[in-house]
Amino acid sequence: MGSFFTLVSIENTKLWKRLSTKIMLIIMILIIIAATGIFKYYTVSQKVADSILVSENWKQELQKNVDLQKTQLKQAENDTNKGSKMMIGSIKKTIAEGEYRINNDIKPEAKKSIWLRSSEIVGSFSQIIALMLIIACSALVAGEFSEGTMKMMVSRPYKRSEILTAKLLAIIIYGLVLLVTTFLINFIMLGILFGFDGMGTKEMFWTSNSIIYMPAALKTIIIFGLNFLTVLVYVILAFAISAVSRSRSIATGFSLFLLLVGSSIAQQLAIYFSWGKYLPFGLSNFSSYVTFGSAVEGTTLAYAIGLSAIYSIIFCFVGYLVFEKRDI
Amino acid sequence: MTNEVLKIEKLKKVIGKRTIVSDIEIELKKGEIFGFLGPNGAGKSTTIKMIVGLSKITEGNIYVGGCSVKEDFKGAMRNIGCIVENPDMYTYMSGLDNLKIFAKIYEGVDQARINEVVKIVDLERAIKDKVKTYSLGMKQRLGIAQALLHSPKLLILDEPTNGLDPAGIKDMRMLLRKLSSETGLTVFVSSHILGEMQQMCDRVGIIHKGKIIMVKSVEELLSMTQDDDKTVLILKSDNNEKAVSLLTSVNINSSLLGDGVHVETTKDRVPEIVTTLTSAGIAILGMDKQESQSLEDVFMKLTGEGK
Repeated sequence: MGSFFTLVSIENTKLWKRLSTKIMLIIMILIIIAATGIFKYYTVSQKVADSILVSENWKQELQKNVDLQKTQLKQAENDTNKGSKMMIGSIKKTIAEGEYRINNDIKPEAKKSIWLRSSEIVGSFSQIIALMLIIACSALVAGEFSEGTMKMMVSRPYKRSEILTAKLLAIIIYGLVLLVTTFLINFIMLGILFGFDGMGTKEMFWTSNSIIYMPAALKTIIIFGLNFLTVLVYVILAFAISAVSRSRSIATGFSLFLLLVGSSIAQQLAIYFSWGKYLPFGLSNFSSYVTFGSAVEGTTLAYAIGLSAIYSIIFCFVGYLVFEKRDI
Repeated sequence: MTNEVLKIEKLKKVIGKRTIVSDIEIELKKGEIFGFLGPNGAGKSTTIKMIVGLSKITEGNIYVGGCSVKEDFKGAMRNIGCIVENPDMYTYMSGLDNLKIFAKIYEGVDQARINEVVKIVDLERAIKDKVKTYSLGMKQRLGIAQALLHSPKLLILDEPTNGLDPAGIKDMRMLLRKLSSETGLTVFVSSHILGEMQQMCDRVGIIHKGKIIMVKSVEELLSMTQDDDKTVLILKSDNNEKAVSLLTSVNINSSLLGDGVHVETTKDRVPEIVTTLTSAGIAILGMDKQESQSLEDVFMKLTGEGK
């Protein structure tokens, strides 16, 4: 096994020696600094209140809201229009959170904690991470075919599957580097601009059918983790297409298309058709299950992750099979 | 296991319904330089790709240093250093970084060995430059350097002289000769130019339409081409036009070309040509034999084509 890790470190070196890898990391950092800065500028210039007034009788007000949501839930459930059913998950989440607060006497927070703030924009950052990883992936797999260097790797004392796995691991490691950098810079920037409030607070975590009251730090880390899993779904797709097509442009183009357009099409299909929830990519926005609630009736976070895992395994299998059998 | 460094047994490759190569049998002894000759598309690259594991073997087997490419791939690959097609390296890295990467793959290849190999291929000055700044000759040498890193038993070079200038070809030849005589390295070189192989190789195998049609030592091969009666002489005289008309009148095919009179003849008629011309008062300034050892000619003879 020792030599396999050598292979991973070789792939890692190759990735980091590429100028684009370093540039992408720098771009990532700049985007986060700019985004948080613009966000701060917006809240200051538009005089957006950064705290809300929580009245003394919050329980009655919350109870009223919960009752209202319950009637909305009934309407939505009886509605024949599939489009309104996509709100069911979100309404259920609001009801559960409200009831949990009332039952456990948890007063709504007057000010957003640093953890909540940093988990709010991670969705768009993770799309950028996905984009960069897709580029890195196609360079490391399809790029080596077009540059002719794949011959140099395959004629070595390694199994082909080991070579491919090492590449996938190197890309995942790069993704983790991007993710951790994103998390840290985002956290620090938001802390500097908005204050490091509520470091030790707890928050409610919606699991699609119940509430877990957990430290806000843990919830934010889970949201980052879920976003990374979403990124992985597209990376594995790009990886498989790279191994099969050997073409950088096809791998990059096709994966980006699915990431940016295909996923929303698939999500619409999942909302409006009962068979849609078996399609890949429609349910791959995992963190929305926690932050928004299930948008597709009858699906849970576990189902979404499980379905994407199955598709990812299929993609990987096809990629490995073709790579293993092919003449290079 | 036998002590052949490379042993190819009844090798066959079929892609779709097309048989690319079949019945390839080659055995290489230690320290020998073997030239693998054939025109483009004869199956040279396919055979080489099967040896180094880039193409799957349809039938037959290949043993490198006693390890089967099919059953003990890793063992076989440890015995091989190769350049297939072009010396493609990671162009965005320096030559040294490339070598460091490949050095990691094998046990016991340290910095000292890297320096040694760089010295062997004479690339010390440019080794820290990015590969994209290299000339083709330098890339070729870097390719050989990476192939030699782990001191393999067998060096496989696919068309190594492609795109090299005459000086580069000569350097390459000397380098391979030196390596095989000093370290006992076995070299398997493919080419479609016979002239290059003559000076470089001990033995030559000729492949045509996917089949080995002949394996011979270079001396045997040369005598085959020279035994041929028909030759073309390039004749220079003080009156070329007159020489052509004179020779045509005695039924010898000749034509005036840029570098002199080309005379198609057989050996026994050469004295006759000389007397014909001198007695007519034409001074012969020079007479050369046209190099006709092109691979094409050998093929024509061996395959009986074109006659």
